[in-house]
Amino acid sequence: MSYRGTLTVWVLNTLFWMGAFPFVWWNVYGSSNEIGGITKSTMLAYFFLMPVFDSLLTSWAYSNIEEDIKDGKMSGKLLQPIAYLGYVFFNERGWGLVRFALSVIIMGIIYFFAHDFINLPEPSLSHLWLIAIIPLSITLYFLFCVLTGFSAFFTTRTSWFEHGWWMIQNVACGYLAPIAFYPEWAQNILSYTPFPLLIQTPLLIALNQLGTQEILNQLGVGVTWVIILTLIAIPIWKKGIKTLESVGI
Amino acid sequence: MLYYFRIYRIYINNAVSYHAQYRASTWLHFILHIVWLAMTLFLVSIFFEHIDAIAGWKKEELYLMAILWSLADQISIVFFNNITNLPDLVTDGNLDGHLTKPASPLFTITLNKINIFALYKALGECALLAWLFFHYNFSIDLLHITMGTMLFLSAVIINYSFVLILNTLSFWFYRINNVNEAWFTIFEIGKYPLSVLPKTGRILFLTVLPVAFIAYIPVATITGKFPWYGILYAVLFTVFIFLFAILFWKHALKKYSSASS
Repeated sequence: MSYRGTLTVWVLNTLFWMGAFPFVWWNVYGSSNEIGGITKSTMLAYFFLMPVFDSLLTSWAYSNIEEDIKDGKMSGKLLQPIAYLGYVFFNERGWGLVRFALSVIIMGIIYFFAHDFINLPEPSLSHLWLIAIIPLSITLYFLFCVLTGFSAFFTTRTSWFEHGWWMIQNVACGYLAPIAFYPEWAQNILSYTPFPLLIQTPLLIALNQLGTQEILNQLGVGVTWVIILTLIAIPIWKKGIKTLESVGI
Repeated sequence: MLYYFRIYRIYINNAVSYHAQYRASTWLHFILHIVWLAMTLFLVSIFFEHIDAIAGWKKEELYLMAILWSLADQISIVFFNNITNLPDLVTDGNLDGHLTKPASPLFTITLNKINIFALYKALGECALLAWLFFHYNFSIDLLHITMGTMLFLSAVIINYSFVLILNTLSFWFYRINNVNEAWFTIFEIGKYPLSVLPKTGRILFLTVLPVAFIAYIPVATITGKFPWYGILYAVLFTVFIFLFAILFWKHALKKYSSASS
């Protein structure tokens, strides 16, 4: 609350984030009730819930790691008796919970006025899968961001890593449209990647759009990728720490 | 005027020298940008897998809007992106360095860093624009093209003015660096036709949050969809917001006091 200006801007950001998409898709649907197996009201609910899930799942670890490396703060943090990446992770989770709480309040207020247009599903047993999917999504998001942040160990020009990551997020994670609307070849490729797990899969589970078999497939893909990304991250981290030089602490 | 032109020439030379050291990074940015633009156009094509028009807008018109939006963004980044550092300058006390120089602080803050890599992206988009006009049969005439180009330049001025107003708020509200991220989020709405939004949204984006001016109005003018009184309004709004931004900046400077530098 010391940064009320920052908080206000973040609230406005959340409100405007999906400002146009619901209306664009409303126009795309027109008089049709269903496209690609997704109904019009489900589509609106998809974009309505997106800020809520995004606030919970998104990681900005790359920004923290890059700043620590470039500003020389990492050296001091490496000397502390806590694992650096663990510190970054839990620091982020604290902010994530604050953002999540605020976005629930904001979207709750919007829902109060717009519940005639937004059809949220009733709670069901399939929502219990979120208990497994959400930690998996958070872990995958964190791992991708960490790998992006590690670029700062090896180059001062990290912005294109960040831009590449933002691009992948926008297109492959389902932020712009559910992947069911993509061409079949794109859907097939993305089904083997962890990107749909980052935002789309939790959203579709919340909207009761995924069956048990699909969820189990996604879980398998997600766990596999957690292992792969961890195995990639560990040697890069070790190499990065070895190359890190600090002048004075 | 000649004095400022000489200063600006030095800024250009510095920018070229700086970016020449990072050629690989510049090319990578360019390639990523082309990929990003392709993905934006891909998204538009997804919409049109199922329909022929969105609120009366055809696929090629939305392509044109996406490219013009991106071009306006890149031109702003080339010339004016440094104004987004104003909150940091204010809170870190580095603004004093600009205030004590024998040139307009707004000039030095806005223009002292020129992003050459964004210029390459803008040129790439111009090429894409040329391809678009060549490939699709736009029924347009010279008058509409001229008006559309003029309104596109107005869009860049409006974008700069609004970003200046937002960043000038840092004189009163500290640590609002994320105001630029918020504006970019809102700015993204400018890729879509205004006609998809409800009336309240259209009024909002034609006044308080002027994103409709970025791509929608120029494209609507080029394709003959925008009425003459709308064009007049766009021109008057450009003059108004630019003057307001400058006056607001001057007012903020009067209120500014530095603790130390």
